[in-house]
Amino acid sequence: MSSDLSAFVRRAKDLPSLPALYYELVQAIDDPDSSIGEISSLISRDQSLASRLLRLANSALFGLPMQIGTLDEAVQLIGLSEIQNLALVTSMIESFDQVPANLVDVPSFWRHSVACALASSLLAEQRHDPAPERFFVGGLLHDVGRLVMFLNAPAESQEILRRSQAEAQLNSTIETKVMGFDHAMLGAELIGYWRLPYWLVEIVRCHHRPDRAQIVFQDAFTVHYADFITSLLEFGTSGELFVSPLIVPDNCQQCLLEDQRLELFVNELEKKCEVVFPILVRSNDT
Amino acid sequence: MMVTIDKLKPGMKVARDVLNLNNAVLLTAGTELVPQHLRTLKMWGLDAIHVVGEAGDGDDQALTAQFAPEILTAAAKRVESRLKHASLDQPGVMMIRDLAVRRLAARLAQAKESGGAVP
Repeated sequence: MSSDLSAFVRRAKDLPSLPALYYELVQAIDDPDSSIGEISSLISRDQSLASRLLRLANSALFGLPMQIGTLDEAVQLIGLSEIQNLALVTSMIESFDQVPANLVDVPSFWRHSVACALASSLLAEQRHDPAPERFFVGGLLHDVGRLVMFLNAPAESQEILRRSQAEAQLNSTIETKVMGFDHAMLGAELIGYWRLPYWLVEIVRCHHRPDRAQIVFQDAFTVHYADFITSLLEFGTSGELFVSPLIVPDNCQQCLLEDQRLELFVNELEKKCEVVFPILVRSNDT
Repeated sequence: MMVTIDKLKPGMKVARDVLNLNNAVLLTAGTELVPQHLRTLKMWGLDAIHVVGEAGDGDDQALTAQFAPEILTAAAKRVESRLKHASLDQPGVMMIRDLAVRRLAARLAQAKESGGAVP
């Protein structure tokens, strides 16, 4: 099974890479000696990142009475880990802009991914994780394997979508039959190839099966739960007709939202999405 | 029973503690609602709360009062078909299902009113 996967990745012509700027930015953010000015001058090399950052700083998310006009101000306001997240979103959306539109509604796919990203950080915040914003990346990337499959195996992908519908099966089930692996395994492979941290590899590999996570089981559950909620409530769509089963490992029961808290959570998520979607996801096809 | 904020009336009694996201109690069970509460509940961004009322299918009654039957049926059908592979016995699933039906029904009702497609 895993030999199918490594053969697929070796042969893949279209394995998108993250732009060099992303790695430079991460390095600068991790370096305690870098200044705000250095970071904003890096950001200014990417026009679309810079303009999104300014729009975000001036959005209702921060609700400031005055206009933020410079990158320096925006960087200070938004914070470094959030900037790293934003840079990843813009890089990702650009890296995958060649995905065939007949296989997936790409803007809707990104709305689902961004909603899952926001939901994951909100859930982590609820359970008082010390750095909830790191979950944004896991939520954003959970389904990235689907895009890699669409890009590199369009004919098989078409077949997988057709059979999923005809047999009323989850995509993962048919993917495994047709390819020998599913989008979660493929996504995890790509995350590793991008040299992102191991806990992200595990989150992506286990996003439908949090019970199989070995190290970061609560983190994997957080993204799994966020995916379940945003899928059923149809915040965008990954293209799946069915929602994958919710699996709650014993040690994650306390992460479930009860009653009013679920509703407040969803309202809060919706508010954030309304602000963030138009800034991050192309609005001409929404 | 669960009642949406716009259907709450002064004099109704809160059935369960109303909590915010940080688990702070906003209203304790047993509180009798006064007009001031209704305004505040709206400000907190709540959609609905549990009030003392008919036992049993209280939630369904509140929903039936709010949406036309064909809209509720359509919403429930779509949400349930998407849940084909999920187990409804799993704790937490039914609540998300109910919320999904309520939100979808609201969108369907809105679309019907404006004659547009479902967003």
